[in-house]
Amino acid sequence: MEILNFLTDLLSTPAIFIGLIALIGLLLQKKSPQQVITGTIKSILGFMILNAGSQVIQQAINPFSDLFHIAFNVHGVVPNNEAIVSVGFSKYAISTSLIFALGMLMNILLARFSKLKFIFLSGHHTLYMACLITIVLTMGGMEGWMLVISGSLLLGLLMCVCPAIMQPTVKKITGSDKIALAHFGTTGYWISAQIGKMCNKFKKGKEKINVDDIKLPKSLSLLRDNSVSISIVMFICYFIVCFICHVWYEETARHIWSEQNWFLFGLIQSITFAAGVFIVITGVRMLIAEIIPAFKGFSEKIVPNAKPALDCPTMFPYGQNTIFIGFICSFFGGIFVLIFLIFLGSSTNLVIYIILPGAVAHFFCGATAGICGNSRGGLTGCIIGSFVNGIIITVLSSMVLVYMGENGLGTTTFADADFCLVGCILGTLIYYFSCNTLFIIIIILFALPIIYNIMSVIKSKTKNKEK
Amino acid sequence: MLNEKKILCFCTCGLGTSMILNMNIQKAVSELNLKNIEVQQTNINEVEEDKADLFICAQDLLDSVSHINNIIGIKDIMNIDEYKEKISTFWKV
Repeated sequence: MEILNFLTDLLSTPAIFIGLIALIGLLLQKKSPQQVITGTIKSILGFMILNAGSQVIQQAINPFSDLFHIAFNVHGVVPNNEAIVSVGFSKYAISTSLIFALGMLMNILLARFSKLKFIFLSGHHTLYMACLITIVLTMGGMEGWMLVISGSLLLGLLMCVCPAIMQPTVKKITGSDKIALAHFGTTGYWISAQIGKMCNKFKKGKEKINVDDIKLPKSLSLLRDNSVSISIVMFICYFIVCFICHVWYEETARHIWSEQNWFLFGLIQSITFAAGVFIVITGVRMLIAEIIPAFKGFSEKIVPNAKPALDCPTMFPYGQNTIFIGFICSFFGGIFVLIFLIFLGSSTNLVIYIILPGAVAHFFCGATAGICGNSRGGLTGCIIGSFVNGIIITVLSSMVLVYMGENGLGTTTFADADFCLVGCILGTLIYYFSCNTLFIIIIILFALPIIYNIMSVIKSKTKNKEK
Repeated sequence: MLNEKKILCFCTCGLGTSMILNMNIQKAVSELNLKNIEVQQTNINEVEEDKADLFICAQDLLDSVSHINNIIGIKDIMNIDEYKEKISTFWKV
């Protein structure tokens, strides 16, 4: 009896559960006993590190949220995937881990039995989407095996569909059909590509400016370093709110920076935030390091003709300058929405959540959107496409906040387009339909590509027989 | 352990691209029959000259780490032959 209790306790301890998934992955890869032990411990360590990072982030971001509210009378939210996932994952570790692991299996299943032959190899995005799905469905009242099955089917479906949607544009960018894109910013990228197509139509016959002929200053390369760009953006945000609070609301705000100088407070807090994100990323890296190779190896055996879908930087070599133009235009798109929302919040009585510019999201998603826009519509496509991307991710980040509940605690939210869009759609569906109905809808959606494939195979076999 | 060589692969965050690099490097190293090679992945901040015998990244990141000499840039990230060719040239296998 005691052993049974011990086992139950063991398996319901999030860190151990994650270690178990890694253990299975390592055993499947037939690794040596030494590698299995090291790998399992490293995965558990990764989870612990992620947890620790979450504490650091919260410590850095909570004062900012209070100061922002004092200064502008609206809520200021920092969109950062690592920040919100670290909170959500710690809270719903077991559901998220199950959906993460089974979602990958569903990806393989769907790739095997449908025409969507893509294997989604950006493990961190798989994990983040698993976390998003878990949060929204749990907030909506789903739990237990229904939550896990719905979540993993949906995740597997997204892991095939998103690369498939982008494949025509990726073929244009890379010039080949060998790799696909695994990044949950598809909404922004696809729209940017369509904008590029429209730009191309209008400019028909006129010469397209080659973006890579433009000379950009070398100093922009420091923006490539995420920790630096997060620190700089957060510092500017902190400086503005601290300055406003110091000049106009000193009495109310003083307790937040207490003995410390307001400027120094802002500086330290902003770098602490970047440090927290860095810690979470380290944790995620260790966590998925043993699991993703198992996933890839397994998928190669079951679906050897599937296309590997890779992280967005694999698109970057196809437009070095486009990256920076995309980032900056996307960033301006975000600032545009920010200013609009601030006016809206201060001139009406609406409860507005202001989304601050997310450095990482605008860099990776803006850059990729820029490359997509550029591939279809040259420089104009790049600029307008990534500007619109910036608007989209900011607006969607604001909308998904409604479905986050206590997670993020109103201080952070998801940053990339697809996390937010899926969150909003799922959240709305579960509000209007029951959990059972949503469960059935998800099963049907998952089955559709498989049914379509079976029917087209039957059709071609019938045609061959007639011949 | 004395003869163990260390390859450190990296990308901007050390999450997505470097994971693929890691897996493909390990495949290339085993196909080249190289023994005692340890492969690890990290992010671009962690890259310092003496941390590894060989650094590998995607080709577009080479400009950002111009202070590193023992480095290989990969153009076609899924092409194992490119890894094998460049690693064997570097270590003159």
